[in-house]
Amino acid sequence: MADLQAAPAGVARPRPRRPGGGVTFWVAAGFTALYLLVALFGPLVVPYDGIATSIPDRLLPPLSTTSTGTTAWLGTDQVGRDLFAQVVQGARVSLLVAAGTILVGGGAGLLLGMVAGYFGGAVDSVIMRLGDIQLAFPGILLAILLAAVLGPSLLNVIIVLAVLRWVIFARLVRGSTLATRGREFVDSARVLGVGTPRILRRYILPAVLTPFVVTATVQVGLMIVAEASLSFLGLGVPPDTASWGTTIANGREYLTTAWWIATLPGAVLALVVLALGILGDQMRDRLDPKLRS
Amino acid sequence: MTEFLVRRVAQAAFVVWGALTITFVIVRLVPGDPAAMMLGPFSDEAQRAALRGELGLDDSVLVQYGHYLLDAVQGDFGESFRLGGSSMDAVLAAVPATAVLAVAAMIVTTLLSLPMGIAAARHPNGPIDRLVSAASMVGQALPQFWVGIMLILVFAGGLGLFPTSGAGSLRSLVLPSAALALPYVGWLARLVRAGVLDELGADYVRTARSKGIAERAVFYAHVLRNALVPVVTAGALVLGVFLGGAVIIEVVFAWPGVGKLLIDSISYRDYAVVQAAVVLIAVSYAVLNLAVDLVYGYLDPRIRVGGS
Amino acid sequence: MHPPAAPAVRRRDFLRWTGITAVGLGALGLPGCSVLSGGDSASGGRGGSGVLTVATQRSLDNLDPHGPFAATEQIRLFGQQVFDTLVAREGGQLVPAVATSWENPEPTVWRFTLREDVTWHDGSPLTAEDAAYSVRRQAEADSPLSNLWSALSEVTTDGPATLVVRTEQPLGTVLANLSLLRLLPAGKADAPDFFRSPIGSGPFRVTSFVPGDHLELAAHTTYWNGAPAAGGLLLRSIPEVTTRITALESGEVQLTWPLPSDQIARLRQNGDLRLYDSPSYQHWFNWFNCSRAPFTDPRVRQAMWHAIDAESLVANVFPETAAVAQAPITSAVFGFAAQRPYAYDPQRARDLLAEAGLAGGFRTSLIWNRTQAPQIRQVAETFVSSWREIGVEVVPQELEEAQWLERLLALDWDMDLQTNVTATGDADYTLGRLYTSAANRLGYANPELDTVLAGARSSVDQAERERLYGRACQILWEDAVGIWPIEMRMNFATTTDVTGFEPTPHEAPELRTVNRAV
Repeated sequence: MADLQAAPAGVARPRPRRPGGGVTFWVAAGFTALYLLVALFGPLVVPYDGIATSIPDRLLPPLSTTSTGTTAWLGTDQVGRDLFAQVVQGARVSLLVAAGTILVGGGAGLLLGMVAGYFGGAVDSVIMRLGDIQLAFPGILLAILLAAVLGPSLLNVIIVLAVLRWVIFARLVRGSTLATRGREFVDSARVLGVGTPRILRRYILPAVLTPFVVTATVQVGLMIVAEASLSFLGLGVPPDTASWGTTIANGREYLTTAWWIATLPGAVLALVVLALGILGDQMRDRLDPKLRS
Repeated sequence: MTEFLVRRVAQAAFVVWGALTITFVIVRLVPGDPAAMMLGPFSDEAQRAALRGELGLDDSVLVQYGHYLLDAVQGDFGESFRLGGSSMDAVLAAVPATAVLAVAAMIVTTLLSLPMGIAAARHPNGPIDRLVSAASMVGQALPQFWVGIMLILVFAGGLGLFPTSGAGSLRSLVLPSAALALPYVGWLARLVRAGVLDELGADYVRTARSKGIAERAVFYAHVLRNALVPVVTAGALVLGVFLGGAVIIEVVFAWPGVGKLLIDSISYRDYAVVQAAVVLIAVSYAVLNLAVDLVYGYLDPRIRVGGS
Repeated sequence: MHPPAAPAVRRRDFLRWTGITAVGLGALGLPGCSVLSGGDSASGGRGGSGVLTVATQRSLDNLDPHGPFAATEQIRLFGQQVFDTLVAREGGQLVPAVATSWENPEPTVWRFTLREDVTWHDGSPLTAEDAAYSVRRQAEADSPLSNLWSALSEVTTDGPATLVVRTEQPLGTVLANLSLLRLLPAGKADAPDFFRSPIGSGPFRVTSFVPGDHLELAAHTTYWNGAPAAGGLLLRSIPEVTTRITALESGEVQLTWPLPSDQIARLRQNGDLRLYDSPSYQHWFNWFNCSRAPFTDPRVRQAMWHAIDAESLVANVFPETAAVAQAPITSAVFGFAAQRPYAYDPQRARDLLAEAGLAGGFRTSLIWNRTQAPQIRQVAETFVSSWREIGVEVVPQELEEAQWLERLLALDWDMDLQTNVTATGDADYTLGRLYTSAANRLGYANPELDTVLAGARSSVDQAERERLYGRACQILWEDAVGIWPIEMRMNFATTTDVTGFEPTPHEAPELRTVNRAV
């Protein structure tokens, strides 16, 4: 499962503010916005039917005409489904996976990281050791267990990835919390008798939110890649759900005969990850030039 | 120092125990019957029941757990259902392949990321910096299995430069270690760059410069050394990931390491091997972490080992 | 003041670092040296010395040919090279191997006369005692092959070269079953470590085994049936299809199967490769859980079948590797009797559903596991799509192998898609084991079928058996307890320097005659 943990990216350090570095930012932001638009509305424009197959039209190269007279812009897959519609639908599913994982895993990491960092001591030790335990525990087992208990579904993938990724967020947030809790304004709040939950919410949270958001942005792309790895192991989303990961994993056996199935969605995925990575970097610079981990 | 070591060892023991216990419970909670996996879909129930009895799977999970812990403390991690013989032996037999791959990937990662990071830091926002930055993202943007298969198709199939798979020779190490290292090269390079930039802004560098010390001397004598502190932690983390077994790379390249053993054992519900592998992975993480702390103290005397 | 000090520190640091790195690499690398050098022969490569590298998909984990994994293709492949059998299957015929002749004086008594020139790999002679031991061991082992021998009553010897097998009832499959029963040396095989490096009497002997990765075999030069053509074999497993096929194309591997149907046309273009095919014992089926509504109604099952276009499946997905099935076993299996394929007729399907009171369709599910066959997901998706055309909504459930198996065996499913190989080449292996009411594998109970199958098993008259299996095929087909869409062909590919390869209908070809031009 090590592969699914992947490089905990997003911890890369700030670059000095670049006054004129706007072009890259806008290109990345524009591409990300396009991705979001496609994910939200694309399936309405280009409907995709995960069940309907058409084996006479299987493995058609890009720009082919199918037996029903339509044009398959990106070709068709191994059961004759239109790859373009599949990629558009996959954008939505992959976004759901990524957003769900950030919500669940990132949320858990945010909470646990703040608690660990703020209270320190035994609480901190226990939470951080839990993280270590999770690193040694094979996540595949969890994926199999969830698929068995809940049936194969998008939700399982989200839970598995959340469990695999919360540590990244927890460590980051814990670090920021440690740096914040000793600051004067927190001390004075404590002296004034402000309750702990309120201190966490009003004083610590705003301080840790910026690095959290930056990391989350980068992680969105990496979650999509991780979902592909789960699909490779046969533990991804159900077969009638099109995610980029599933399409790439299914198409890998056709790289020599029908390269487009795995390659075109792969290229789109790489572009999205790249755009989100650049966006994360630039956001870091813009939001908080002093941000250092 | 002693107190520090004792505490770290106790923490490590807790982590190993925790990972083992969770694995022990979940691997049994997961549906799937080892006897059915061994006998296959065309066996009958009486045979499977008999085999389950022989494998000791009729006891309650708690009883099995008790037996297991007692044996494990004495160094007996149980028999592999699938491979026969001691499960820990099976895991240890897979360790060399994984270790060689991990070290090779680590060497690739280090050799590429250090110069890349330094070059990027010397001219922040220059073309090299941007290239490194983009490369690091693209490296992580591609699913590892896809990269692995493409490497095989191009370098083993098309060009015939390296073997496709298996742990045969030094040449057979090239493609899997490259595929394994790829996502981490750029990431580590960015860490090096960030560390170097941090240090370049530090007071002592300004002091040294103001005294007219050659830039090169300052850089290599002080900056790089200090910048390496966080890089060592990150590098150890990466090495830990590599040593934990690179499941996907090992499957794609038919590399007989711990990752492939672990995933095969999970599919066969070969409980003892799964547990032995988790123990070994947890222990190696713990050892690595400890090593990192010690190296840390050595590299940066400001960090006193033993402090929190 | 800094300059003089700094370089010194740096050099010392550097030296220390180098030292640490070297020690670290040494520690990790030392065992690794063995990984890299020890397996050198494992990489094969063009121009080896008559050692043939064979790659299969699944790994060989265990070398007990009677054990739990005995029926798997990997163990059968390995067993075929390392061990002998009393009887062999050649084409459709059962022919002498270690047993030169046999008689069946009474329906429950079989006397086998054994060759006396057979030696084990350690040089000692193979006797009737060894054969008797092996039959007993297989019959008692925890193995899916053991229940082929449930009618066994007694195995005795009559001198060093005569084996007597007695059964409780007449057993028509004695010879077919013996073709899968590997001979082991009596007593020796009970030693705890015997199966780490087992001794057999077959054409090749085991020289090195790394469970889960590879097995090295060397020629048994004094083999009674002639020394093998090749000097040795290396059996490797490469799980990822593209990796395995690329290894064949680059010459690292000289023989491999199965081949993905979609790659065959491309591989045929490759002048460095030679492709072989043969009829096979492997077929696909889509079982209905006949104890679960609405599949309790045969009309519903038939309707589901009429919704499937098997011809289009063959033409578009398996053009090179399959044919439309005509019975619940393949045409190469003993006991095959051709039935009339269910026509692709969605209207007829809808009519049948309406007759069964399901004019509005229904909702159900299909389970499968992707390790069953490379293209299983495509077939499943094609079926699910076809069923929707007749108003039946099927939830596709691709399950992880162990979980699939658990649900399959617990009858916790609506429909199940899988493949099966009739390993003995005799209908009993598939029909006699899976479709009886007692086996209850798909919630189907038919007393008439039970009688037919029991009669076929307990008859030693092969013509009678063939007739009875024909009837069994017909009952299963007409009752549509499953859909049998296609039967497969076996496809093998070698590099062109390989000679003497004979394709077989199963995945365990004997490689005695195979060699590589050096």
